[in-house]
Amino acid sequence: MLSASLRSALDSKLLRLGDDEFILGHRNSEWTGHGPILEEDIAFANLALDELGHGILWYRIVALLRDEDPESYPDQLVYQRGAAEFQNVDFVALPHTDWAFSMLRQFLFDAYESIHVPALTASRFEPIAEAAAKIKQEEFYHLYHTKAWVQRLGLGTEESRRRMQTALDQLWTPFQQLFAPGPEESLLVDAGITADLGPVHVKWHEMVVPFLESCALVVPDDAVVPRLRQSGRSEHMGPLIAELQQVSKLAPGAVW
Amino acid sequence: MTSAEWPVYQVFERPAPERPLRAAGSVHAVDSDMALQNAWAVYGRRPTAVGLWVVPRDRVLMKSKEELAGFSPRLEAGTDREQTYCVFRRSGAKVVYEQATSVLATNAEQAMARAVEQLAGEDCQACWVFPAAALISSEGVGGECSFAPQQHKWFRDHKSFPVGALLRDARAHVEESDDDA
Amino acid sequence: MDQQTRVAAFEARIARGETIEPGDWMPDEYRRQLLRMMSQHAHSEIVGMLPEGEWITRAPSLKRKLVLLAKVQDEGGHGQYLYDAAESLGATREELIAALHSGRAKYANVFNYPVPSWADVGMIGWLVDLAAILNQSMLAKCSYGPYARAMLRICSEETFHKKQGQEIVITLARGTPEQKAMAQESLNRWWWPTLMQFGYPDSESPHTATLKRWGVKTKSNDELRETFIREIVPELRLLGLEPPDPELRFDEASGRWLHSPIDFDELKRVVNGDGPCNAARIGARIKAHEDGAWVREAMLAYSSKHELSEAGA
Repeated sequence: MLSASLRSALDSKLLRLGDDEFILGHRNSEWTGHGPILEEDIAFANLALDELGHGILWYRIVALLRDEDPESYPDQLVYQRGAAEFQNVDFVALPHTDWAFSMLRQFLFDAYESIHVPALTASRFEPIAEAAAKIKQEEFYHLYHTKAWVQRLGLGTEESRRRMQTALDQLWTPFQQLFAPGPEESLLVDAGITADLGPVHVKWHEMVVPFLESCALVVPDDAVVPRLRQSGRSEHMGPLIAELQQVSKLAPGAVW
Repeated sequence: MTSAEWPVYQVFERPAPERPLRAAGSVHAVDSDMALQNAWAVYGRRPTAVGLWVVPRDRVLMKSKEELAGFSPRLEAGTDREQTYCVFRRSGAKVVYEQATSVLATNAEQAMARAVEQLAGEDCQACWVFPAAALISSEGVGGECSFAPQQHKWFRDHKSFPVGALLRDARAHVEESDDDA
Repeated sequence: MDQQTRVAAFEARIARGETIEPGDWMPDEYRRQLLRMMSQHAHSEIVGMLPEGEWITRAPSLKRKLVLLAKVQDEGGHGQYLYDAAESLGATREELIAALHSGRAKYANVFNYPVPSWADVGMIGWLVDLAAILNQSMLAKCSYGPYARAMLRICSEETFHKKQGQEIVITLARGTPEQKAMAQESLNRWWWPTLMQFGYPDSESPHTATLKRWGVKTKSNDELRETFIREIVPELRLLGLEPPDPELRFDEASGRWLHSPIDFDELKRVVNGDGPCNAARIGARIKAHEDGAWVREAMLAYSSKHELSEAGA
């Protein structure tokens, strides 16, 4: 049995986990039908489907904690919360500028997942360990795929390298917000329920910096984790959520 | 090089753990690593595959029955060493190429001749051969790469869309209202 | 062997149920027709990703969102199978794409219509995919190997697309009055373009006989259209939805469905570029292609720099 304070800390952590994946998947899904190469359009849609699915896995555990139906509650979380209630890091909501941007964002996130998700499989809270095990199966392909792309774009042409560098310059600092623990998160770490993001950050940094440099990219010096994972109102979440919920709001409460 | 010249890779899938491979289709890719990734994306996303192979199209010798009729292979032993050639064939009324056997040969034409000989008892309609060394397999990627997650995607499962039951329900509803009327 | 004998031998092969492979002898007209059919089919799938793709970000439930994303992805996959099949007859992917972008190549006409409502996602899935299934099921037994193989995969994936669409429409039709009205309004716009999908009447389709003899077509346009109406109208009516045709009724005497004349002038106009969305659809494809040029160049540059060798080459 979870204590009230653990339950509350876990609830908010799961929303962060779920919202990060879901909003990222949502952004990636925008490329479908507009990708640079047909085969890659198909591949990127797979990544988007997976991330959306991972978000839903975390949302189901929120349902469990709140004594709600895990089948239907995720819909409520996605379609009935206001933009300000979403707990995702800002950078997942950034609209994409070009293919380099989306691919780099996905790579940085996949690298983080490759470290964070295995750590979560050791969670003392069974639903988290199970969800993490499922996610881990899919993340192998994600990192394999996005690493190959970052390498090819970094080391391809001068234009592709320049675009990757621009993307890196845009994403690097906001990305660090992913490692900022949320309120009461230390309770969860001490209880062995979630992983300590400090060591995750260090390992992530050790993995990505040499790799990006090997791809002819210059990594900005600043890898400081900010205090907060959301830097105030993201100007992008309003329009994103409005679009996401547009149709469902035509007949609230209806089955679609 | 324009995209038009991106090499084509033939893709083969293993439909289930103990089943033979069959031809799935082809993908364009700049190199073998991307070919495998593309094949994974295009052919690995449905529960029809537990493993994938890709082979550059230019390493595959393809002969239909009609072409085999006029086929006179170079049978003289070359100076190349013998290597294993994978043999896929279409037989009878089937349209899909399935893995049949493998043969040893010093070149593709010799492999084709030997394959055809071996398959003489079958109603072989068309045959492909390629060196086993030319194939790139998902099984060699390392790490926990797995097609298992694709087996369980509810959004590709017919059961998620019970249209028949919904229509029967609609019919019952209409009949009920007719009864009430 | 003279031409006539060769053609006779070729047609005999088909009559025996044999499958023609790329290296086999085939009449030029067969090659031309197959290439036209496969490439048009491929273009239709790719262009078809766009109207439904517009609704992925707005899909009103998680189930609908993931299913729609998977469906649009499938359409990309189908286009991929078909481009590769078309390439077996000598065209390159670049040439095929260029033909689409220049307006020379045709694609399924339905996709030149706008999709202003969520209900359209359901209608396209049900109506258009049912039409596609009817057209396609005969192609799985097509005499040309690469096309038949592509179609085997496509057909198995298509039936569930139609179910997804149908389920959306059923849900709307049995939902709130607003939802039901949305479904009816959508049907009003998609009914005629879908009937046009089956092509011109048999009397105006000169190719049908030859295509039947060559194992490429087994049913005529009118037969397929009739099959479509027969299947879908009772189901629509069960849901309280009515196609926008006051003449639509089943005639006991002839055993056929009767309907108002189809406006084939509209079909001709829209097919030739004068539809509401032709420019937008092709424009989106051109933009994706042009925006992606630097990506393709980078991939090629990397590959040639690194000269990745094939295993054992």
